[in-house]
Amino acid sequence: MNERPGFLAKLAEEDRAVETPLRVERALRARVAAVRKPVWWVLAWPVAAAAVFAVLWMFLKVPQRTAPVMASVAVSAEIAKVEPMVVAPASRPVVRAVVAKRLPRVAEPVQERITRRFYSLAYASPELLANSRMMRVKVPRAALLSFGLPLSAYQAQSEKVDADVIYTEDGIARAIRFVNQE
Amino acid sequence: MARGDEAAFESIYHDHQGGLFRFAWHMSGDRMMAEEIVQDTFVALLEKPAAFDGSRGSLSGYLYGISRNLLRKRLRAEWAEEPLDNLDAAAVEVDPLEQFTVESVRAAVLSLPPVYREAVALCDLQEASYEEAAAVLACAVGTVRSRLFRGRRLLCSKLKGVVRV
Repeated sequence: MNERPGFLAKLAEEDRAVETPLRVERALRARVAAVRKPVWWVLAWPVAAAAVFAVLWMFLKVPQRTAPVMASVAVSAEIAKVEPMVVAPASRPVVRAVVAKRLPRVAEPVQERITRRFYSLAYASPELLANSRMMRVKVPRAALLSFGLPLSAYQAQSEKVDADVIYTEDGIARAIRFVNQE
Repeated sequence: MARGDEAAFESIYHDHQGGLFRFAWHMSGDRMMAEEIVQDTFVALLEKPAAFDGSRGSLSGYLYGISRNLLRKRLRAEWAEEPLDNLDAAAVEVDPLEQFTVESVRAAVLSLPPVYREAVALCDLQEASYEEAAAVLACAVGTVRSRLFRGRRLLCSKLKGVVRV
């Protein structure tokens, strides 16, 4: 009786093809999927948060991309205010704006716009302006007219007006701001 | 599989489901119960995968062990029915040429006391080695051989007088 009896071998052979019904496998697969789902959610939250952060960062950072370049120099705060000439006479070449993108402009009084804003004189990239210097000079009163700016009473009485001029390293005047001396 | 890897589950399931189902069926004689045993065995593996220690034995042995424990719980009354000492198979020899119906043999196997039935189911019907059966039954190899010997003799005695083909 140390050998397997023939009738047991026959039974084993007969049952060899018997397998678990498919419904058991389906139930277990559903269980495996249920195990996997929480893992997916654990991973999904950080990924979703990172994606939202990246999108927000892109929208908030892109418009301000030029600012950090200028912030490293002494006149960077002033340069950031450079804006294109309002009215260009036919005799002067059109001056291009130095700052490509700007935030929506807030309406401000004309006099304040004259004395606080820089007007570009020649094209300068942000890299050039980063190494620029500002100098106080006297310019003819007519210079205001060439930028389409109105003359105030005090300016009308003097021959020259003070202005801050931004020079880049190549010696070219890039922007000008008229100074209120009152 | 613990992380919900379906490919891992599929591989393990397809390697072991057939044997586990047949073992549970031969032990219980109930296909529905065998289905539940297989399902519960894999659920146990899914819920506590860390409980399997590869250094202590094979995955197959571990799964058969779970199935056996589940069967013992289901068949508790039957398991405790007859003490081993009272069982002694008569020395009945069966002619190897004698043919029995598969169903009669199956019924005879089911009528064996559980301790002999599981030895016969594992070694003779699942064709497991003595060592593998000993690992599943948590006993010595000698004990497996002894139970198998007695189980076979009991089967022969039960089949004597059964309608032959």
